[in-house]
Amino acid sequence: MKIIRFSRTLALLCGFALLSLFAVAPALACVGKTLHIAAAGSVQQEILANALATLISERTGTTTKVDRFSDAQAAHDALGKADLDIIVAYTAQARSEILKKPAIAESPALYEAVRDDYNQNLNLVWLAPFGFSDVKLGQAAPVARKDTLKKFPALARLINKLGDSIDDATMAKLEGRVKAGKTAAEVARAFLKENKLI
Amino acid sequence: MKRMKWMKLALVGVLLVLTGACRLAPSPLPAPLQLGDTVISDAVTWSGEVRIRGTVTVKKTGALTIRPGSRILFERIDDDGDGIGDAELYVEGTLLAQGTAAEPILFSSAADDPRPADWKFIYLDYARKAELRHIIAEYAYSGVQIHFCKASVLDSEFRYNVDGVRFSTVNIEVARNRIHHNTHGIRYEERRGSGSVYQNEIVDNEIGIFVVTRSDDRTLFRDNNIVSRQYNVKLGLDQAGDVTFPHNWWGTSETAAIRATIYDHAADATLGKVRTPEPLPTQYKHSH
Repeated sequence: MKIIRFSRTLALLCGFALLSLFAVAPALACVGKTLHIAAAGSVQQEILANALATLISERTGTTTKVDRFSDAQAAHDALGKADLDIIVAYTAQARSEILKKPAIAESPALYEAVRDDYNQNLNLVWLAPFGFSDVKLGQAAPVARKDTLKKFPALARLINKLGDSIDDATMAKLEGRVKAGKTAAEVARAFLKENKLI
Repeated sequence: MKRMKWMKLALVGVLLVLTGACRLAPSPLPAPLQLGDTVISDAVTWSGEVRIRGTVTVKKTGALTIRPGSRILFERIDDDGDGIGDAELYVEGTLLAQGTAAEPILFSSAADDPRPADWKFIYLDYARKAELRHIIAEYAYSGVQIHFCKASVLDSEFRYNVDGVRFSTVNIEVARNRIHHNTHGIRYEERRGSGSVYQNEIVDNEIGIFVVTRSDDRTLFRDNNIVSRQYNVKLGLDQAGDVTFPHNWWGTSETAAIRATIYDHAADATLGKVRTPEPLPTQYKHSH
């Protein structure tokens, strides 16, 4: 009796072991969810959204799509409704227009305050700032939905490779290329190639 | 009496002419088989033209045989708006798509202005048996995706897709195919699977071979011609292990020039290394 029980247990264990060999969680589904990234009404937004979209699709194979919005509020609303996965936001603008809170002058403190507020109250994650600042809008950084980052565990690490990669002069140069006639997608791709990010 | 004879002769003549005309007139082509969401649970054979608007699923008990020269056309539908067509052929049972060199089997878009990702894919998922030979797969998201099964993909052409041939967790043979003008010629994740990929023309793709993740160097690429627009081999973000591609033609025999066509550890230190030992000095010449 004991031997039969032992054999059954052994067979079950072997079965589980065999299953576990193949039943590994896929990194990304076979067509997968398309990641939607917002470009909210400016050349700068177009370039950064395309940089994120290209980086993600080139490095992971995930399909990405850039969705256009008239302004930051519209993009933020779409993010809240889960119609979007990632936006590019600005610290001072987020603090005053989205969170409706008083301004904070110091840049690192502002970033931390906005990041914590978004995380606790909006389920949104501020990733590493790109490295440049707009005088009125503040520091620019990608902001992603928490559940998107859960579904794509490598995403934050990948996007953070863009952290501190675009200073004020670089941003101005990239915008200049678009004004000179290149598309934002071309400019973003060239930037990523130049920096060996793709 | 004589008049009767002439009349008989005339009648025979008319009959002969009519019969001949019938023979000469082209017989009307059979109407294409139109399929929406369809489940195949037993043996089915397709020939001629088949138009698919939805998902055709070959269940475990099903066996789909496709005759040489057949044209399988997928309509461009995108209900979820993700930019990828929804029509697909999904196989859990048996798929035997064996054309001939003279009469390949075409899997394509039904659109007048076809473009990549008009339809989703031929998807082999835990398929019981899968043999693809002398097929052409074009304008799909993936020409073919193969997961969790044993399969062979031979003497075929994959063009104008996002992924030409894509596989993971398989035991696969991919040989003598022409894989060109796709975003990724071959895209794979080993995940403890293995494969033999040889004597293929993997040319004019943006990326020749995209090693996405979890590959432990158990898929042997040998005697292929791999010449791509951006990179011949690219490692995905999570491919930390090294991979080896021996005895292939890379579009050049210069080591530095070959290195320039590879995206690996040299570009991102978190990635593995791509090794290309014994590169062929010239293109691999097929004997057939």
